[in-house]
Amino acid sequence: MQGVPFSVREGEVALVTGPCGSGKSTLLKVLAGIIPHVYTGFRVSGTVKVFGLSPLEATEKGLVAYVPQDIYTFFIASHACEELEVLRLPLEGFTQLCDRPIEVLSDGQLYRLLTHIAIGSGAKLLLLDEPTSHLDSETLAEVVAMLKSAAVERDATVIIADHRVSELKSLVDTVVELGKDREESASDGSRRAYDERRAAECQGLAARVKRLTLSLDGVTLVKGLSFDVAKGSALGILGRNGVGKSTLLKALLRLTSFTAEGIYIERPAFYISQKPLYWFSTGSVRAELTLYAKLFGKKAEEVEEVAELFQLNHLLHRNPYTLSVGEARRLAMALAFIASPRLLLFDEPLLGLDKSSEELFQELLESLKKRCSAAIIASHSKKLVELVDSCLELLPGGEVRSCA
Amino acid sequence: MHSHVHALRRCCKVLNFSTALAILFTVSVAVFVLPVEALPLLTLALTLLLLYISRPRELVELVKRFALFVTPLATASLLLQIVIGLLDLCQLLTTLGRVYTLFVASAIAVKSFSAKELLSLARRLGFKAFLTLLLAIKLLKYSTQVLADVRTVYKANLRHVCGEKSFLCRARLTAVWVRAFAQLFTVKAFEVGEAMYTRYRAALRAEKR
Repeated sequence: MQGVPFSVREGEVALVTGPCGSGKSTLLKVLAGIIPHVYTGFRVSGTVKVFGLSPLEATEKGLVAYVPQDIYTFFIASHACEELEVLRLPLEGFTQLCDRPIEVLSDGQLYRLLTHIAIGSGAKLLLLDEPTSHLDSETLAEVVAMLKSAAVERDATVIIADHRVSELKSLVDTVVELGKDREESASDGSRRAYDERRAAECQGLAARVKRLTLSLDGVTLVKGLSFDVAKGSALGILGRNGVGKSTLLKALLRLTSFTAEGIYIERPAFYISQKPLYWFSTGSVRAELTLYAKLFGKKAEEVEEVAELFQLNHLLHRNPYTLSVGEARRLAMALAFIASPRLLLFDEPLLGLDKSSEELFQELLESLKKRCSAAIIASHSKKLVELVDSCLELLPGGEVRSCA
Repeated sequence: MHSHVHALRRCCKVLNFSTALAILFTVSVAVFVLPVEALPLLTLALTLLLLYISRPRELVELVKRFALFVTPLATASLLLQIVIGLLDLCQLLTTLGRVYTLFVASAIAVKSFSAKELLSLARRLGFKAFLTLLLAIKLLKYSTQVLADVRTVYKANLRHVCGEKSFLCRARLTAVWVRAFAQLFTVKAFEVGEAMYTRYRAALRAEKR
C-alpha cells in the first residue's frame, strides 16, 4: 500500500473497499496497531492517528476494537457465555449458544459474537474485516444496524473493510476505495479461455445421498436428507450461519459421523475448506502449485498457465500465508484445478472473493462440468443460487427445501 | 448470566483451573525425579483424572493424536538403536511413558482452562507472565485443533495420491501435511498475538474493575 490519504470523522460509518490483496485488512491492522507491532516485518511511514493518539496507544486505552477476518483464535474463553461473562457483557441474544464450545460454533455465529463484544467493549473506533463473507444477509443487516446505532448513540466510528460494495453501500456514510487500478489489470488476465475439451456426454451420478441424518452436540442439523448430483453439474447447499452446511460436506467425505441409508460420492474428490482457510505446505505460491502439479502428474509448464488463469502470476514468489483471504481462495481453486477431481466440495467459495475472483470461480465450475466432474458448493450467500444448477436450502431444525 | 456458566460447569465436571495448572507443574518435575517404577502409577492416575473430566471418546481421540505425534519419532529412535547396536527397549518405553504423562497433564490443563480464573491470576502474575502463560495454553489448545483441521483437508485431498505406491510416497505425503501444520501453527501464534494486543488488555481492565 502506498499513499493512502483518508480520514473518518467521529460517528461515521465508513466502508474501505477494493479488490483482493489491495490492502484492506492491512489498513485495519495498521489502525489497530497490530502492524507494525505484532507483524514487525511491515514498514509504516506517514502519519496514522486515532483520536489524536498512535494506534497502539489508542488500542491500549481501549478506544479501538478489532474484528478480524479469520476469527477462530480471537476468543479468550472456551464457551460463548464464559467469554461474555469475562468481559462483563450481557448474554442477550446468545443464551442458546451458552453450552456449546467455541470450536463448534459456525463462522457466522462467531463473527456476530465478536461484533457484539466489540460494540459492548465501549471502544470508540470499531474495525470490522469482511463481515459480508461471514454473515448471511439477514444477520448482516442486523449487525450493521447494531453498528449504526452504536455510531449514533455513542458517537462511535465504524470502519468496515469489505469488497462487497453493493451489499453495504446503502448502509454506510462514506466509501474509501483502494487499489482500483489493480482490479482492472487483474480482470483482463482472467478472461482467458479454459480447457475447452469436452468429454462425451456426461452420464451417471457423481454423488447420491439417501436419508442422511446429521447431528452435532445433540443438535439435529439435517434430518432424512436425500439428493443426487449428476456428473457435469453443480449442486448448491444454501443456509444461514450455523445450520450445518460445513458439517454436511464433511459427512459426504466421511470425516464426521452420521447415519444414512447410503452415501456415495465419486472419487477422487477435492475439498476446499472454510476452516482452515490456509492449509498450504510450502514457502511460496509457485512451490505450492509445483507440488500439486507433481502429485497429480501434471507437466511443470502448466504451473505458469494455471497461475495466469487464477491471477496468481504476480504472487508466485509470495508465501501463501501472507496472501489475503481472497488470494488464498484463488490459490486453493488453482490447486483444485490442477487436481482435476471427479467431485469438488467447496465450503463458502465466495469468502473474500472480489468480483473478478467470483468470475474465476464460475469459470472453474464450468471447466469441471466440461470434464464431466461435479461440484457441491456450500454457502450462506444467496448469490450461490445463480452459480449452480440446482440448490437445496438447509433450515434450522434439520428441515430441507429447494432454494426459492 | 452467572446461572448459565454455573450450569455449564455442573454438566461438564470442570476441574479448578489453578489445580490443573498446579498438577501440570508438579507432573513436569515428577516425571523426571520419580523412580521409573512409579511412572506407570502416575500415568494411570492422570489418565483416570482425564477420564473423569472428559468423555471416554475424548480420551480415545487424545491417545490417537498422541500416537500420531510420537509414532514416527519412536520408530526412528528404535531403528537408530538397532542400527548402532544399542537397543534399549526399557529406555525407549520410559521415555514414551514420560512424554505421554506430560501430554495428558497438558491436556488436563487445557481441558480445565477457565478464562475467568486465568484473568484473576493475571493480577498476581503481572502482565508479561500472564501473556506468556496465556500464549502457551492457547497454542497448546490450538495445536490439536489445527492438527485435526489440516489432517482433514489432506486426508480428503491427497489420500488417494499414493494408492498402492511405496512407503516412501506415503512418507512424503506425511511430510507435506506436517509442514502445512507447522506453518499454520506459526500463523495461529501470530493471530493469538493480534488478539492479545487488541482484546486481552481490555479483558484485564474489565477484570480489574
